[in-house]
Amino acid sequence: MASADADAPVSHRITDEPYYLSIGNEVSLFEAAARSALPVMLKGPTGCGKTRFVEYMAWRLGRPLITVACHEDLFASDLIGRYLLKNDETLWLDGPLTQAVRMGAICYLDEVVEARKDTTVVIHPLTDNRRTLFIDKRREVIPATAGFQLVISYNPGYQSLLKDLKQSTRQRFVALNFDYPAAHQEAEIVARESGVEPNTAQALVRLGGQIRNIREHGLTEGASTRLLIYAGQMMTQGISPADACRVAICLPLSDDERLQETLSELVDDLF
Amino acid sequence: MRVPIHEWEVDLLVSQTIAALTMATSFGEAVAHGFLRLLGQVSPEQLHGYARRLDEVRREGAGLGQLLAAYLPAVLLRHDDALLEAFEATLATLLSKGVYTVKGPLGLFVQLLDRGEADAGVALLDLLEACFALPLSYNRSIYMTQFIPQAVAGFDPLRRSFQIGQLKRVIQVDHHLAEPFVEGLAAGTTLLSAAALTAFVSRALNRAATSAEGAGRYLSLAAHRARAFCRELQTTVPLTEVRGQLGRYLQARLGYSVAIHDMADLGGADDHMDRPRTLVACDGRYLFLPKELGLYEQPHRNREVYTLLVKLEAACFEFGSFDFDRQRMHQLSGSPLDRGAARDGAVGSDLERFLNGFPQPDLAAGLFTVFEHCRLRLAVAARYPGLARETASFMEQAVAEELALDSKSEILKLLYITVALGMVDERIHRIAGDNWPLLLQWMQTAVDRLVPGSRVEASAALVRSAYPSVEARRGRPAAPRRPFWTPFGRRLRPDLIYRATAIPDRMARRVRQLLASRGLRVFQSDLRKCFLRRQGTPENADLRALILAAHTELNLAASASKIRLELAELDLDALLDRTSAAALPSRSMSGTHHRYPEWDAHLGDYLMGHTLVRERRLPEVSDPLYRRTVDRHTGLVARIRHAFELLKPQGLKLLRPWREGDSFDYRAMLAFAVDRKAGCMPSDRLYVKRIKHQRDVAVLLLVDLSRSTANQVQGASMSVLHVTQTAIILFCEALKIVGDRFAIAGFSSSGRLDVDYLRIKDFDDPLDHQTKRRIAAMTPMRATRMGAAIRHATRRLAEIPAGVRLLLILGDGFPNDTGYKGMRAIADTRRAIQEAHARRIYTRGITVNIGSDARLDELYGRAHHTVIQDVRDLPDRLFEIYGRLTRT
Repeated sequence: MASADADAPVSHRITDEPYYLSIGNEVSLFEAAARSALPVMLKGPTGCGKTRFVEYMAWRLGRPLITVACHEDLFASDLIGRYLLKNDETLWLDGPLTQAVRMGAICYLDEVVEARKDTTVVIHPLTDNRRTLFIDKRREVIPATAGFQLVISYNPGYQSLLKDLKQSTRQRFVALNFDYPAAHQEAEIVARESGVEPNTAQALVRLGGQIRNIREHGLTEGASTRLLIYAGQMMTQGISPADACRVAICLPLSDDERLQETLSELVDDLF
Repeated sequence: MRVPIHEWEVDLLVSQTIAALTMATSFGEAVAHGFLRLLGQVSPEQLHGYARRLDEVRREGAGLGQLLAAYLPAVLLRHDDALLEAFEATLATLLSKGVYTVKGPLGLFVQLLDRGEADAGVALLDLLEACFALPLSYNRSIYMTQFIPQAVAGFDPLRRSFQIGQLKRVIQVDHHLAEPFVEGLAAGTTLLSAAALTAFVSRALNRAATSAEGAGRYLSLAAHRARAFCRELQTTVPLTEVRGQLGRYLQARLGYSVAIHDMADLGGADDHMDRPRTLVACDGRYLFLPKELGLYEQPHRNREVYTLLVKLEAACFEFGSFDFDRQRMHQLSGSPLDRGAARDGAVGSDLERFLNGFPQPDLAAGLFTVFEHCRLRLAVAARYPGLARETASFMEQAVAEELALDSKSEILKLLYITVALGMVDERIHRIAGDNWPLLLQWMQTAVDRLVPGSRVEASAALVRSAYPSVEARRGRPAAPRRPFWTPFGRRLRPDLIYRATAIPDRMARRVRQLLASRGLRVFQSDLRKCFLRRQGTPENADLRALILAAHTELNLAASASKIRLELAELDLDALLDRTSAAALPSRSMSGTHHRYPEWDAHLGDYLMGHTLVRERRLPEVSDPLYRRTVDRHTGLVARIRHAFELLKPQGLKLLRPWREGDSFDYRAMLAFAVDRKAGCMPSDRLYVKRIKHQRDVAVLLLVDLSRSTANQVQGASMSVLHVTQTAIILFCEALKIVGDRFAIAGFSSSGRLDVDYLRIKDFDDPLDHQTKRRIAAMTPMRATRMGAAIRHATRRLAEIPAGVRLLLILGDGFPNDTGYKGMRAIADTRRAIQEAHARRIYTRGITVNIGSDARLDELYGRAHHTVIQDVRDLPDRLFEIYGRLTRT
């Protein structure tokens, strides 16, 4: 039985400063949580900047970042690690959570409610004062290296009730609430990230706002900042504004033809 | 035609009336009325002819005489010999069947003449003659004398004439096809043009040769091919087809909902509209559009016009055309506040009072439309370049058509084209005459002052500046003029605005005066808008924001804490008569009684035992509503069943390839062997695993049975509750498939001690006849004390052992009961929902038939509710919501 080398921390380090426009006091709150080694829960709609915020904080705190996109087939072993066969030898491979615990990284579990319920249980000892990870196959308890911090993201209200986070899990986190930025800030973000002119960015943000006004008309969520940036990026590639908005904003949001007609009207008004 | 009245004519009236009175009093009255209508209006020969005709029919009896005495004057007043001849011929045909055939059909004919629908009247005579010349049985004749007038009266006035003509064609082929033809009109053929309806009827009548039944099915649009052909022929677009889409656009653009109504709903308020060309009107609260639009031969063009009109009117809301404020006007131009008030006794909106201050208020109103539409055009161009381009092309076409038709130099029309629409057209210079360039130059300089961000008062200031020179050019007409031409008849209507906003305006004035007495300034127009948006129930936070904004705008100092202090002392509820919270005595009732606390937001505490909920079974009614609904929605039921089959647990779920499990996955084993041989690292996912899959969901559907659910759904002949019942029935069908435990209850209230909780289906009840009859028995009752009902529903749901307990609240608005309104009701409901949540009961609010409202977020919590603006979407959306909430 051999142990695979953990990935060198440098491969998870963020060397260039990610662009992030602070909306409130979330940066200082996260820093305080990091100093106290508290796990953090980021709540907010899709595409409002949660992942970018974590990247930015990892860079700012100088910590490696390991991101896991959770899905319904994600088992505990996918997070912790497993034995593999190589020739006639068994080989232990650390999972992303174990890697983060060993290297003192920020482990970001994106959309944690999508994971199977048993996976959330393995993170419990890491989120209280024990700060340990138990690997049952190896009968090993790993204490978290200083700097390790667990961050989960959660999109409240849009989930199935059968998949809601349990109180026993929720009450282990400091929670930061995210929402779409105010119009002038969102326009600044869109302009910066996509490279479009400020006027175009304002029009995109206005479109986003108008689409969010009809969130209850068949859209599960409104247009995210990410989609607005995509539309801007398409425009900088020479695609017409109408086409860019259609492919980057309207079509991804809904399959309802009538709703698409309304979205097209809104796009046509603005460009 | 006015002719002198001779003495002998009066003598004739007297002698004829006396002769008729000797037979019957009512006959005498009819003769006297008939002569009075004709005297001075017809020639002596026609009057003699009338008397002669009365002499003749007197022999037939008083009944016929009375009818003729009443009907004939309307014909004679048309001075049309051909019409008189046709009338007499039809009368003869009707009389061949019997006097009983005359009253209804010819009564309608006279009504049509009196309404100015002479063409339709003539067509009706043709129809009657064709129908009653047929060999009809006595019973059929009697039936037709009722059926034809009823059907024709229901035809669309603009299409009545040619629709009567087609009914005649149909009856001539087979009078039994008359009913299917009329059914078909109601089902959709009424939207067809004359040529299209002719083609449609021809195709139907071709079928009559082989099968009368087939022709009937075709005419009534029961046949699939008939519906397809009708759609192909249809160029007119009905408002009902586009209303939902347009409403959604308004919601998106404005962030709040603006209801769209049929222009006919304006009633008498549109008397001075230029009817044929007025396609849109707005009163600052609702938007009015024609019931249907058939300007173009292509339906998509008609849809485009509907959309464009809504987009243009949306600008009035977005850029504040309805927010004229005298105080702001005073700030802007320093004009005296009460100019115009004295003239009109201070009646009307601020805008009306401003316009009434001018010698010619109609001219001032016209100028206001010119400048305000110019301001809107500039604002739209800055914010919506795409819309500005689209508008310009439509407007250019409309202006080109108008100028080609009309060369009159109505100054307002020319100003509208050049200033409001910003168009340059050589023809205008020719039409306008000598002084035009000078006036135009002045206008241009004035309009340049309308910078982006200007408010509506800037347009009013321009009216004041421009009025003298425009009046000098137009002069003072002796009689009021018709409204000047604008594309699609768009204009700002101060009278409509006042009618729609009078009540919120009065409330706003009272609040403004009260605040002023406490040294706080606020603009009345801002308050009015707040009252409108908050449906008459603004909160202190709203007022605080408005006061701060007004003080900033007026450069006045005011600290937020001072405002908060003043508002805390202000009893807004008392001021707005929102409270009448006298406790109602409990009445003697059957059922079990339960007391619940109620949250008092002002007190910041619970009022213990404040509400009394009576729980009882809803009595059954023997109505086959359930069966009928399932039958009528066969397709939807099948679709829902299929969708819910997917939610249904399959017993065992197979997972593969898995790292542990009950058996090997042979495909994975093969891959493992190959990888191993190749020296690659093989996967450890080699197993198949079977896991038991269970749903453990209990859902309680709590239905609002308040009075408002009796409201008709716009554009449909059913009530909100009826659609809700349909949704519940289909929901039951779906839950039967998926196997989730469910219960249904309704609630209604009349004061805090009289809250009814009506059990329709308990969790343990089977979906049997009794339950179905109770669903059919649901009926609109009284008010909505939502908090108490939710607390009781929570109590019932908490008793059910289930992994997930869901409370779905189905309502059509906000809670509202005696002493339970506005923020108080919202706060209590929200508190009741939080109490439910604390007991691990999830709630979801579904609000139908209203637009999105930010306060729904306050009521249910953001992302914990759904708005279904068109209640007819409820059946579909209910499953989507439930499916999403409970997917595994």
